[in-house]
Formats: sequence, structure tokens, C-alpha cells
Amino acid sequence: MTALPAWKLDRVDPGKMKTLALLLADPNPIHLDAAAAQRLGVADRPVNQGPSTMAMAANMALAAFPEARLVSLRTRLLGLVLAGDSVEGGGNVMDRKIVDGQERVRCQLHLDVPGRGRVLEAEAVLVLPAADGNR
Amino acid sequence: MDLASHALPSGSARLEPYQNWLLHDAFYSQPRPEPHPVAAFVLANRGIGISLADLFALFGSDINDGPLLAESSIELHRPLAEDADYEVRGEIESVERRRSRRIGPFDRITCRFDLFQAGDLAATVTNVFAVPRPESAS
Repeated sequence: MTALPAWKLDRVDPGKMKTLALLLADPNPIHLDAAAAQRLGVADRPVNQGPSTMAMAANMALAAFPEARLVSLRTRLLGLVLAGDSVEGGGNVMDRKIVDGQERVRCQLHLDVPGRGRVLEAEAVLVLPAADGNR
Repeated sequence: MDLASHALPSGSARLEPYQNWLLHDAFYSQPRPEPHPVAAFVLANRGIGISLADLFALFGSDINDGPLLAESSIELHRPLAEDADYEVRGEIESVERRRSRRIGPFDRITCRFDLFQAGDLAATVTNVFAVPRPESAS
């Protein structure tokens, strides 16, 4: 089992949540408005959308294998990520297999918010590019 | 109403190049012509023929009442493309009553969305929502 390089996002940007709310057509105010998140008793800051947190896991896997194509991402969302949080990630390569002539790497991933604990666990499968001469 | 196996209205979605750029940026990813893998989630969400608010209403919930995305699975059968039309078909696969210490009784509702491009299956997105069911409503 090989550890993936440590991954970190310094600050979750509430402005990106607003863009994503439009792209997702997601009207939930907890992603837009700190006052709404407070009023609903969810958090004191805007709450990052689940797919954005999933994207961080995908980014971590693709940072470890920059030329690869991600073909599967299975995630469990375990806690909230809030505006202004930093997020730290890690994981391991679980196995590597040749399927239909392509090398597939299966990784287990996790993301943590320092001080609040684990927010996501995931499994990703990436297809590595064919080595020169095998194309 | 029994929600399990309930087909959702189909629809379509397209990721325009500027939306692809914005989505990469919103996902903390360097913008590039190939969509981010989690763009499949966005296309499913936007392309299914029912709004998120109406989907939660179908669940007997309200988008403002705290339904949670608990799990999500994305399978990319082929690379996604910007500027391409995706037909989105979906169904509610299962509904299971559960209980958690944090939110009490809740329904674990699994929805599957298939994305087709030019008639071929391009991606499958399976989302599991945790919908709180207060004791008085169960």
C-alpha cells in the first residue's frame, strides 16, 4: 500500500459556492447566506456544497496521478465543510490492475477539517495513460 | 406514495464552455476543455426533468428542512465533453427507514441518474439523501 502525497486547500471560498449554486441550480440558502445557515441552525457560515467537497477528493487523486483519467468516485460525506475552513487530505493506493490493456489504480481517500475531524471518505479509480510504445 | 422504483422525468443538460471554465474554478481546479469528473453530478442535477426543490417535495421534504447528501457515486463510462448535450434519465431506486443519533429517524433515499450522450451511456451518478423524518410524521 502506497501513501498518496498530502493534499491541502488553504481556504474554502464562499464566492465559489455562489457560482456553484448557479451552475447546480441549487437554491438552498445555506450555501449562499451565512444568516440563513445560522437561522436554520446548520452553521454560523455558508456550507460548502457536497459536490464541491467531492471535487476536492477528485483533485487530490488527480494531483497524485496528473495524466490519469478518473473513471469512478464513490464518496461518503461525513461532516460539513464551511466557508473559511482549510481542508487537508490523504489516502493510499489500494491496488493496481491491468484491465482491457489499461492500468487502473484504486485509491482510498479522506478529507479532514482541522479541529472538526473527518468530512469525507472516498474510493477513486483512475486509468493511467498508456506508456509510450503501448498506444 | 411508494417512492421506490419511481421514475423521474427525464431532461437534458449541456455544459457550455464558459460554464465548464466556471465549474473548474468553483471546484478549485485549473480550467481546461475537459470537464471536471464531478461535472457529471452537475449535469445530472441540472438535466433531470425535476428541480431540486420539487425532488425534495416528492420526498415529502423541503429543501430548507435540512435534507443531506450522504453519499454519492460517479461512474464515468466515457470522458465528459463540454458543449455536448446530455440526456438525463433518473429514478428513485430505494427508500430505507433508518435512525441516527444525530438526526433521529430518517429515510435513506437512493436516486440514480444516467447521462446519455448521442444515445450512449456516458456516466451514472447515484446519490443517497438522508431525509429527516420527525417521529410525529413517521
